[in-house]
This record gives sequence, C-alpha cells and structure tokens, in this order.
Amino acid sequence: MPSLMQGESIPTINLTETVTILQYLAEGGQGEVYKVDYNGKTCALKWYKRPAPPDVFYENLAVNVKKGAPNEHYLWPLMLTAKYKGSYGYIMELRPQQYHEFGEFLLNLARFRNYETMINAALNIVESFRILHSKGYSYQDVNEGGFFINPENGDVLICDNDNVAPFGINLGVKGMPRYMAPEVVINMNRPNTHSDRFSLAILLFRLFYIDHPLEGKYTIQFPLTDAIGAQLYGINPIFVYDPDNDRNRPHPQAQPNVIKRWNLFPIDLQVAFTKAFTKGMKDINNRITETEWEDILVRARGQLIKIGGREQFINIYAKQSLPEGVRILKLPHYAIALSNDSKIYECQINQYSVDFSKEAGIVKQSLSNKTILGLGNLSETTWKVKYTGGQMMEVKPKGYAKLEQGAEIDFGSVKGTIY
Amino acid sequence: MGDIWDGFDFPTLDPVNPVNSNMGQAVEQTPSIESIDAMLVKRAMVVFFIIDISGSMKGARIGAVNDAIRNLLPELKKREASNTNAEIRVAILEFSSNANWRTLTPQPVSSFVYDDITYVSGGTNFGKAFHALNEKLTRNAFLSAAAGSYTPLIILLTDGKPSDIALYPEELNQLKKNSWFRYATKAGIAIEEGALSPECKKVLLEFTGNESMVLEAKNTNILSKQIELVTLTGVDFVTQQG
Repeated sequence: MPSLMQGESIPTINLTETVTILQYLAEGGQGEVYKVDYNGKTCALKWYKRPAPPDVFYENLAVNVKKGAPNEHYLWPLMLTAKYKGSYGYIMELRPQQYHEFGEFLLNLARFRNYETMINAALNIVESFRILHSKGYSYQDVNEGGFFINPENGDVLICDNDNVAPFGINLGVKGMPRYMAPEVVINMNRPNTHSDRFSLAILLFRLFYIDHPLEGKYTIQFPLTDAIGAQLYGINPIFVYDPDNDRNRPHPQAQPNVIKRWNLFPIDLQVAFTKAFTKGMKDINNRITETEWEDILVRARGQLIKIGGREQFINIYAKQSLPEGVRILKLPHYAIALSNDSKIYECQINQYSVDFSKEAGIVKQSLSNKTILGLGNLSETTWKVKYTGGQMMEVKPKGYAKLEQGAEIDFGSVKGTIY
Repeated sequence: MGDIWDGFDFPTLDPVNPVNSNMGQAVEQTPSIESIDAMLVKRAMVVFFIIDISGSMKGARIGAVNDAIRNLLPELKKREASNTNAEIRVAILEFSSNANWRTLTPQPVSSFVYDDITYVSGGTNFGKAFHALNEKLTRNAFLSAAAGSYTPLIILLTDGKPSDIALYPEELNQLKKNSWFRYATKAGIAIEEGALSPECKKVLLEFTGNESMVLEAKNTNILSKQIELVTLTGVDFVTQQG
C-alpha cells in the first residue's frame, strides 16, 4: 500500500512550496517513488519508508540539495520535503523512458547500439565519478541499480544519490553485495572514495563483459552464506584472469560472456581490469582513478574503427597488416586507428583538455579515390602538416589534412605521425 | 578543398604505400555487437516446498495450498525477471506415508508450470520427507546449478502431527548434518489444526530451529499470504547476500 495518496500535498523543507502527489510509480528497498507536481513541473518524489532514516541523513540531503548536482548525469535531489507523517522524501527529475537500468543490459533486455556507444557509456559514468570525487564527495553505494543508460547514445543518468557524502562521512550504507570493496565487505572500512573506485571497476567490468570479475570456477562451488561471501568477496577474492593465480578462471557454463569477450575488447581494458582486481584489489593506491579510466577508455575507443560499416577493433600494439583504408595516428600519448568516419577528440590532440566527447577531427575518404583519407579539422586551431617530401601545409579549421604515411601533424600542443 | 562535411577531393598523384602489408598476421574480425548476446548465468536459488499430502489435508486445505503456490508463482517470476543475482528455481516434495518429488530437478521459475496436487491420502511421515530432502540437498543433486547456488529456502507445510514419532527424529538428525540444510533458510507453516497441535509445532520448531520461523495459518484464508510472505522475504534476503 502506497503511504501517500493521489492529490495529497506535502510542504517542502522551507515550507514555502508544496509537492502534490500525482501517481504512485514504484517501490524499492528503502522507499516509494511517486510522480509529483512541483511548481507546475512533473517530477519524481522518492519517499522513505518508515521508520525514516535518521536526522543526519536528512541534514546531509539538505546540504546536497543546496550544493547542486555535480554534472548533468546525476538525477540529483532538487528539493527536500518537510517531515511529514513520520517520514520525508526528496524530489528529482523523472527518468526519461529511453534510459534503461544497468541490469537490463546484463539480462539482455537492453542492448547497446554499437561498441562505440558502450565505451561512451563507460566514459560518461567515469566522468561523473571524477567530478563527484573532485568535489570531495563519494557515492558510497555504487551498484547496478543506480545507473540508467541510453543504449542509443551511451548517455548516463545516475540516481539514488542520497548516500552521497563528503569524504570521511558515512551515513550507514554499506553497499550492495557483489559491488562492495573487500575492505567494506569485511567491515574494516566504511564506503568512501576508494571503495567507490573498486565498485566502479566492477560496474565497468560488467558493462563490457557481463559476468562478475570475482566469480569463476573456484567461487561457484560454495553455497553463498555470509561467512563464505565474506571469504570470496572480502578476505580472499580472486580475479578470474589473475595472471598469477588461475584458480578462479571463468567457467564455460557459468561465465560464458567474459570468456567470449575478454579478447574482443582492446588490451588496454584487460590491463586496467587486471590491475584493478589484483594489485588494486586491496591496495587503495593501486585502484584505477577516474582520470586513468578516462585515458584507458579513450585509448580503447581510439582502436575502434569502421570497415564497410562494420565495427572493428584494431590492435594498435600488434604487428599486423592493417586493412586497406586504415591508418594509425601516433601521438605521444595515444595511438588512434583511423578509417572513414573515424573521429578524434579534443582530449587526444590537446594536452590541456580532458574533453573526450568534443570532436576535434573526422576522417573522410577522398571523393575521387576512396583509398585516400583526409583528416578534417573540427577544432578551432590551425594544424601544421609536414609531408615526407618536406612540403608543409597549414590546415585551418574546416580544412583537411591528407593522411599520408609519414606525415607529421602539429595540432598545437601535441604532434602526431601518420602510419 | 571542399567542405569537409561533403568529403573532399585530393589530387591522386601519390600511390598509396601500404607500409604495413609485410607485417605479421591479418586483423581478426571483430564480431558485431548484435552477435554477442549477453547470456547472464545466475546463481541458483532453490525454493523447496515440502507439502504434507496426508489424508487430513483433503479438500479445502490442499486446495488452499495449490491456490497459494499458484498465486505465488507470478510474484516469483516477476522477481526473477529483474534479478541479476539469482535464478529462482522451485522444487516440490510431497509426503504422506511416503515422500515423492513432484519436480525431478529444481525447475526455473520462469518456465515452471504448477500442477495442482489432487491425490491426498495416508499418514504424516516426516521422516520420509526429511530423508528425501537430505538426498537431494547436495551439489550432486538439486544444488548443481552451473553458476553455483545460494543457500536454499525450505518451506514445510503441514497440518498434522507426526505418524512416525519414533522414527522422524533420527532422519532429522541426519538432515541436520547436511551443511546445505544448516545454512538454508527454513520456515514451517502449521495449517489449521496443525496450528493448534503442540506435536505439529514441535516438529516445525525442530525443523526450523527458530521459533520465529514457525508460522501459523489458523485458517486457509491466510495461508496464501503466509506462504507469499515467507517465500518473498526469504528470496529477497538471500539473493541480496554476497
């Protein structure tokens, strides 16, 4: 039974506005969600079940409302209600329908449009955490239930932000099993930025490989009791692809997805996840930071091209013949595979930028000869190109550089070579 | 130089020089994203119903049990559909003078079809039920799911006192040595007369080892609610473990 009735009005915390219940939407573990009218706008109200969380929780929410959302990816508390009928709630934007729960992707009920979208979704999640953490806050309850993704463009919405708190403060949440960091599982530590990073690695792992990074042939043989759970996820977790310990490799029947996908995605992801779940498993100083993830994911995306409309990962580290119509742009920090319609991004050619979504260049085939590629300049900077014959050329914004082997392109703050 | 959005046209004086063509193996084709379905294999959570079908269950009582399980299944299916942790499976054991598995293996709830129990007769031999349960509570039998198992939920439904009062304790002792049983969430529901019978409740208390897990359905009206409450709470609790 919903605890609030249609048409019921609840005052906001400052008592100057009201929230009117329009419709009961759903029930979760902690509370109920309603569609409400707030100042003429249709919003969502999360209403806590009684007994309502304690005053510190309420006060923290009030502070978060004032502080505002870290970025546009958060379905952040917009307004808190006054205490009412023994409980309270907060208002947030309604989630648009094209966003699907993370779990739906695991269950194959939602599917990414392509690999690029998948990587962009990962980047959006990571960026949101980078910004949250950079403000001195941690999320503390990272799990698949809090993330919604648009499978068409990789856009992400993060909800359940009610446990977000400044570093050093925990409002009682431990997190969700299978997503908690080992030190949280065994109650050595409360969730914080460091445990967020562990949970983030699990979330990203599952985004790409579906299966759980710590579940393999070793772990599946035990009944999952509290004590065994503490052992497998807290005291002695073993990464499925731990290079030094093959005891818990994925089981073909139980973890078929990671077996199928592990070698599909760029090696940069393998290296990062291996570090996150070996050295970084218990040592917080070896956990992958958001800045590192952004770098890793941008590299991975830079190895994805299209050949005849089909997505193809190019292993830029392997000695192999490149398919026709493919070039590599080697920058000091990135190597990017390029084919028709490939994009390069601001963060790749501007060493002062972290913008992974702003397109700075696009590859196009020559109209008369499709084997010839050019790199269109979408940035505001004029590039300088030096060809092997020694001739120099300036490429103004909206102009293009011919992607000729050996050509050197000076993008301003970084220089690259075409292979 | 045209607008890059329209493509462009270079002079084609320079032959394309495939410098990389003499290197190593060819690029392995990336499977399309459409071809890589997510096939999440979840840990199994088996819900055992141990149902008394002795003579006294005849009529409304067995009818209420059938109805309760029938009503429960859609709820379990709903939970199963959105649950990324657990695959819920159902195993049903009926017992009277003998015990008989209605499910030869635990059935995934998503595709499970419940057949009403219609034949009801005989005594209430708990020992037979405990023995049959013990045999199947192992990784080699009912807990053999590929991705491993959660601790099971075992619900015993009865309205009677034991007909095998001298025999069942030994079977229960054996069962209690089974670690899957020890870790299982166990509940007992005493139906109608059973709720009034100290002997019946004694067996249920011994079985669950926990007074708060012995529930009374003093009339069949509330049986359905009791079964739903116990099952859904049990499933939610266990599948959030980890």
